[in-house]
Amino acid sequence: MKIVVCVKQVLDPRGFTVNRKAEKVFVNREEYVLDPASNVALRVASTVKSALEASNGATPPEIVAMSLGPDRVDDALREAMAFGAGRAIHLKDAAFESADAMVAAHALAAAIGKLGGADLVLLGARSLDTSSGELPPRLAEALDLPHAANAVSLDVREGRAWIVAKHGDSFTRFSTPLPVVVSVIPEAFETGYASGWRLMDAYKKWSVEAWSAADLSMTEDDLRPGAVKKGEAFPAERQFGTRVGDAAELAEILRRERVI
Amino acid sequence: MARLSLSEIPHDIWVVAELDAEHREPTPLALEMTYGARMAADLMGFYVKVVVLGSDLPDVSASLIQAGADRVYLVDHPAVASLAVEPWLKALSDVFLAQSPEFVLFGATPLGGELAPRLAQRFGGGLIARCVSLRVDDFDRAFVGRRAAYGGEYYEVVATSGPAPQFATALPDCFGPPYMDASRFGETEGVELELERGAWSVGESEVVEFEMPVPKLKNARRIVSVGRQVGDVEAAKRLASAIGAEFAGAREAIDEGYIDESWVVGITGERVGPDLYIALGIRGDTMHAFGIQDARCVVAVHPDPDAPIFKQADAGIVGDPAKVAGELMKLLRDT
Repeated sequence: MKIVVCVKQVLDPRGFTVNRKAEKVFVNREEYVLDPASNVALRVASTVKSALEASNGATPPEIVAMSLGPDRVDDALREAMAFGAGRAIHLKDAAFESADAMVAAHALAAAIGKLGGADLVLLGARSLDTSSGELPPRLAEALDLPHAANAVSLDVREGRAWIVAKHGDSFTRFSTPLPVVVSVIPEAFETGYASGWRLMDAYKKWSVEAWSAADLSMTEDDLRPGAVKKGEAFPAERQFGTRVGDAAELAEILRRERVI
Repeated sequence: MARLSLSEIPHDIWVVAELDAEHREPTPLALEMTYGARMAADLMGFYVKVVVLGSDLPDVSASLIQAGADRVYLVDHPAVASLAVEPWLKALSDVFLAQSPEFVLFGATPLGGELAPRLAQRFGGGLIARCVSLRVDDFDRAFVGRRAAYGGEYYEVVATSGPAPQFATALPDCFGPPYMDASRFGETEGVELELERGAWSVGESEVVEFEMPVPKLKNARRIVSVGRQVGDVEAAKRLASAIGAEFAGAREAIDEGYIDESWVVGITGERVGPDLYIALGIRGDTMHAFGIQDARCVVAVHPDPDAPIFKQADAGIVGDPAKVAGELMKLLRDT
């Protein structure tokens, strides 16, 4: 039983401010963190693994974390190991610099193929930065697998994944044979922290494997992105609200506007 | 799935229109996208082609033609009666292989959000997902769209490129209300396809009850929230209990020991939408701004007149937050 978790690193929103007037994003502290949705995907993988271990599966389940990106992604992968991944693979290549979700899906699918396939592929449904939700269906397509989108609960037994998924305002339960790609909604699960000891081990004792585009036998075609980021745009600057002199005047306004 | 290539040079702009489940007519978003496609088509010299899939389809072409479609393709097949994705994918790949679209628009709906990335991957095309605005650039022959970053604090401008078909999913209001021209002509064509249930055997699905964890502040109608400059935090807490408000804070309030992790408002905490949000001593950076976008009325008190929070506040007082909180409590206690 092999569980692959694809994780993403995002710019820490605590480190930047958006100035709409200057039409600029000011990055005060360029730090990257594990995307909250990836955090949840890793925790779901551990839960599935523990449940399988408890039910005495024939082969002990293995969690493999994967991420595509520059050197800094190494931190996200070590954090993933601290969360319980037994193996971490960094898809790292200068050719990935311009990667869009299409190229990322190609690379991740090729890496999963190189691993000999996976029984379960887990991802966050939407990342904090772009929330585009583009990668999970693309990866499922590249692997030619079904995709269970927006899962709020996942249970694996008897070779099937039992899933509760959010569809608009309602929830449906179904099961599907493995292998399957599952994307999880972060809000449905509690986020957690990796243990400090495991995080230290992740840096001191364990190592992250690096695979290049050549290792994955990717062609020039596979590496050509279909979409490129051209820049940023900004909504209209917020206007100052009413300046109020004192509390009495404020109370008056709140009553008049019927908010109190 | 092996990558599919088109035999012809791609041309024209396509819209995949969804039908309202209840009334069985094109959704407002489908009409809006058709109108958006019309504007692009007039610029580029394209035809606007709309495809509708479903079982026992009523004639839905009239409104789509009024919104700008030159030709409406109806795929009427029992396999696309449900929203199981595989037959839809097969149907649309077959149509696109036969017709070679250059640009394809989907709604940013649960179905479009699944179909568009999969078809884009299948045809080796770029995708701009969840566009808040979108146009076709006539010079580059490319979709150029804006999508929200960090919950809409700013937008990323993204462009696709050919020669493979280019895809986008549009959110409502991406193009604005459609101009329905009753004098427009268009054609309607039925498409016969061989579709099967598909190999991805998903077991019987049933609708179930599921309790999502409810964020603590989700249902709060009034929130008193504090930041580093609040001064006397007890005054803020008294105000909160006097007006029946929840007590929360910006992330920096954790450092001051005013709140714990589960009461943070902002990107890394919760997004709230109360009727009244009173921000005491919160400067109001981007992270916090994200969290209160849905609040109906924002009141800010901060000693610094240049604090960004005042740009988000409906009413603001430059002054000592604790002092104002105390006065406000006395004035509002009985309401």
